[in-house]
Amino acid sequence: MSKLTPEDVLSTARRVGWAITAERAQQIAGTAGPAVEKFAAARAHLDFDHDTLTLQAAREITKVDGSKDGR
Amino acid sequence: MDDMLKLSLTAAAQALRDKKVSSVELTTAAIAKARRLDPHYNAFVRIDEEKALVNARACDAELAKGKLRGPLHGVPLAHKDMYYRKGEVSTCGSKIRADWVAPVTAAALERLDAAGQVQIGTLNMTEFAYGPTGQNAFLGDARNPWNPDYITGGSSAGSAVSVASGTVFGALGSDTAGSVRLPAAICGLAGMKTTLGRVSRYGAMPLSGSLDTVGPLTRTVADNALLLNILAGQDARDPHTSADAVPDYTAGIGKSVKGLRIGRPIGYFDEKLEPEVIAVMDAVYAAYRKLGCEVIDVKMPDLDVVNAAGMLLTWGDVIAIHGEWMKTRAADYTPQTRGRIEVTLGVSAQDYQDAQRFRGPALLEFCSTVLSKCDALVAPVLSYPVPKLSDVDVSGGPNSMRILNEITRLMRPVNYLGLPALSVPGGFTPNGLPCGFQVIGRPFAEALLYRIGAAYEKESGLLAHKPKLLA
Repeated sequence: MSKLTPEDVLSTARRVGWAITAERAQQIAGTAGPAVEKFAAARAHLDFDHDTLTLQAAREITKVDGSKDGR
Repeated sequence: MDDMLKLSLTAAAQALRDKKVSSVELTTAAIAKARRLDPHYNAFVRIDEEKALVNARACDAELAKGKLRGPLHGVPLAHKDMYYRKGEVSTCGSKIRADWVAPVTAAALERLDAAGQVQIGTLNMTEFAYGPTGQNAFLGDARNPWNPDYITGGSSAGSAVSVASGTVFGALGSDTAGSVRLPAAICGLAGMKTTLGRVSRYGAMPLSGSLDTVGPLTRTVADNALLLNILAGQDARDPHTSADAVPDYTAGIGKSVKGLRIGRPIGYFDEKLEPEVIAVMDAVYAAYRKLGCEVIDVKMPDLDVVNAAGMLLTWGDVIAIHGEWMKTRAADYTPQTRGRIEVTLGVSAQDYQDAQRFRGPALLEFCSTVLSKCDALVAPVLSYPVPKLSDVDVSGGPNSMRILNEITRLMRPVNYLGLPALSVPGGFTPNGLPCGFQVIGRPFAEALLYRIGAAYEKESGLLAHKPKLLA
């Protein structure tokens, strides 16, 4: 998703069973929308083979030995 | 006995071991101070006087027989009311869990217990830890010891207040988007946001399982390192925890930092800074130069996208954790928290999964473009001086989100990347409130961060400054 609409918010609210008015959905779309739109740029860094555990792998690659002055 | 409470944690633990003071004396003094200050500062959710004194008496009796439980033998501490203790209520700052009795004890508490702590109570926090100002409409707002008209920072509000006021020697906080570093910086303390996987979260209330970390708040950097020595390590009950060896985090305290490369961020962390904060940060960089460090300008990658990814991850976790209660008990949340949780409806499943997938590439990029050029990055915690309680509206509307987003803007990327960051007192802004900075390093570089933070702490002389309390 690159643009969040009030309809998206209402649809999610219905699915999870939360009571949200149309006015509130519009407000939420306005509040959450910028982060959703900004994040769309990250997709350029992702490809088919990235899984959801990439952080653990990257942590092992980039970590330091804390006992050896941490550099 | 109040003077004994002004000692550092390290010094108090030594005084106990040397039998210069008893645990009963220290614990009694801490409880008395907590009761005296709480009408003014609202740091405590609960004071467990009877249990604490039973524990303190046992510590004294054991020490008399030459038995030492560990490095915290008999030291009074208190912790954010989201660290479960089996059989006791853990409110998590909420009405929903006002009477909820925890079925397990948090791994962090188990470790502190084994080291000899005397927990005197549980501490105020933002409802379900979901908010950075420290306010709580259900429990009442905690108040800043430096000036009660100002926010404490959150969500570990009571942790910061109880330590900064000299009531206890240290406290656990949790950091999902700055909840250790912000209150530490705002109340003039050291606060460690640990590497994701360094400290077990077992038995700690989840806010965002992807981002939550456990960390201590203390008056000195050395005290903080001492607590992390106890807290760090693998725990099969939290599969995120690392099997990597735990070093002695106190070993580098006091060592020279000459020759270390301190990164000064160009971009993101230096954006939207108000002049008062710039003045403090300039003094921090000047101090590190004086200490023999090389201060290097380092261009930041696109951290706005990293911050956005962190928001989406948080929302995806929060909507899952709070989904059922928002359906059945929405009215039991305070309007502020309910409003913030409602915003999580903005995340889609694909955004959430992609935000998980992006973490590795983002960490690799940050390390290759930033942490390859310096040993640690030194950046502000908050872009503006500490605001007054009356300045922050956290009701969940667009204005509150703008304020909340700016308070957490310099925090969240560190959580998303899973990196450690130590918040250190940097100075004061003209409003008389503390202004902190953060030292950010590679995964598991906490020992280096403590060394760097301690060097500034000593150079600045800020430990001599104490808040003037109302009682």
